[in-house]
Amino acid sequence: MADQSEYTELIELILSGNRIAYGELYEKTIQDVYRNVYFLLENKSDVDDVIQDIYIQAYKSLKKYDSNRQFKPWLMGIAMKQIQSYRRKRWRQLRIAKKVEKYQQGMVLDIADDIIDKIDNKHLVSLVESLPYKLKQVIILRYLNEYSQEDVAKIIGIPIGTVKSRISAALKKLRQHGYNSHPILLEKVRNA
Amino acid sequence: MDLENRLTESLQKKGKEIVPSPVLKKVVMYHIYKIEGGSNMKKRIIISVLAVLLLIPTTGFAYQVLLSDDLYGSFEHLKRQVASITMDKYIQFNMKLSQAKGELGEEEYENFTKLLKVVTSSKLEYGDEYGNVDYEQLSSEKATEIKQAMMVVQPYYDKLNGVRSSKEILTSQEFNQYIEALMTYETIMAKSEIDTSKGLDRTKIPEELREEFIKAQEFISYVDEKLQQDQ
Repeated sequence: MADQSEYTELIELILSGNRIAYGELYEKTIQDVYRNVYFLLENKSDVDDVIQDIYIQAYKSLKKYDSNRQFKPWLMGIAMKQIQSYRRKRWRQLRIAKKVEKYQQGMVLDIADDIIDKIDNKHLVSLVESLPYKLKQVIILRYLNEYSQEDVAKIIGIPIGTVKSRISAALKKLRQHGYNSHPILLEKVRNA
Repeated sequence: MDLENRLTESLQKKGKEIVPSPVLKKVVMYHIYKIEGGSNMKKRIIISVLAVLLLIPTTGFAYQVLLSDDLYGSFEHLKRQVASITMDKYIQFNMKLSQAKGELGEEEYENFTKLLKVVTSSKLEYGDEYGNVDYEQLSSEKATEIKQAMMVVQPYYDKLNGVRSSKEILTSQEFNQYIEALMTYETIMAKSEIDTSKGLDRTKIPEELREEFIKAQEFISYVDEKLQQDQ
């Protein structure tokens, strides 16, 4: 895992016009960014498009990056903004294509079917995936990335109190539906 | 285990299964190069992948051709891509291949592949497992021979990549420096034992080689940009 000084060095190179260095920055961060986007997008076939937007935006914003800040959370903040704008754009299409979307969503949840011994984990992940977006977002940032509540607040740009209440609402919802529950409950969570 | 721990465990476990395709990097970098001034980067990337593919059927072994852009990852990736190639893609590649042939003309194409083999066979013979050659380990005659071949092959790459010939655009001194930078880059990769299929891990480059590495990288970057502006 790259440390902050390494990011700072790479960013200096990029800002001096060395674009190959941006390829390196990409390599160092893509795994994490990709996973987050993957979890947060309902339509997985759009993940690659959003990733492109994120890295283009990050490249353009790099001059504004304050090196006193940790780089990873900064990048994650850009990722969250891009996902947000994707969701806005998508909203209209979503209304029209709601039925299609639902069908595709069902398909996506079945992707990792070959791993039999993971059923419980898998089920929990699908419960998380079917949470309302704002709750899912805090859960992913907090538990997939293990960011502190303060970092989560900075990344999304909301007060820490809101982060706390969203996390507790999300946990409550997950508990309520039970992570060992029958898949039928997925529908309930999704429609809640 | 409580819910919070289980969430961390199951999300991270699932997260490990989610891996981006290596092609995505090429697409992102294509956009990055496009940001200032339009370019033919996309074409360039396709052709550079192609140049490597050209050689597979004859040897059954994918080896990396170092092109000036971000191809260093392709040695392993390509093997994976080739293994996972679908019929559709196969046909697509075939079409690209004939297009390249068309663009160069029969005679030039043959000449190109012949010269390309001089460069790539050196990689097979002297390259590490990732296809990078430490040119400093070779005899000076051998290194010069390969350098000469690279100097002839490079303009062909450029042509296939849809940019003007680097040999024409750069001064002869710059062109010489460019080829040397490409070789230095590879040498440092080999010396640092970097698995270029996993991208470039800068921390693995020994301190004493850093400055030389950055210089080579900057020059390659400079040429890349120049080639794309001078369409």
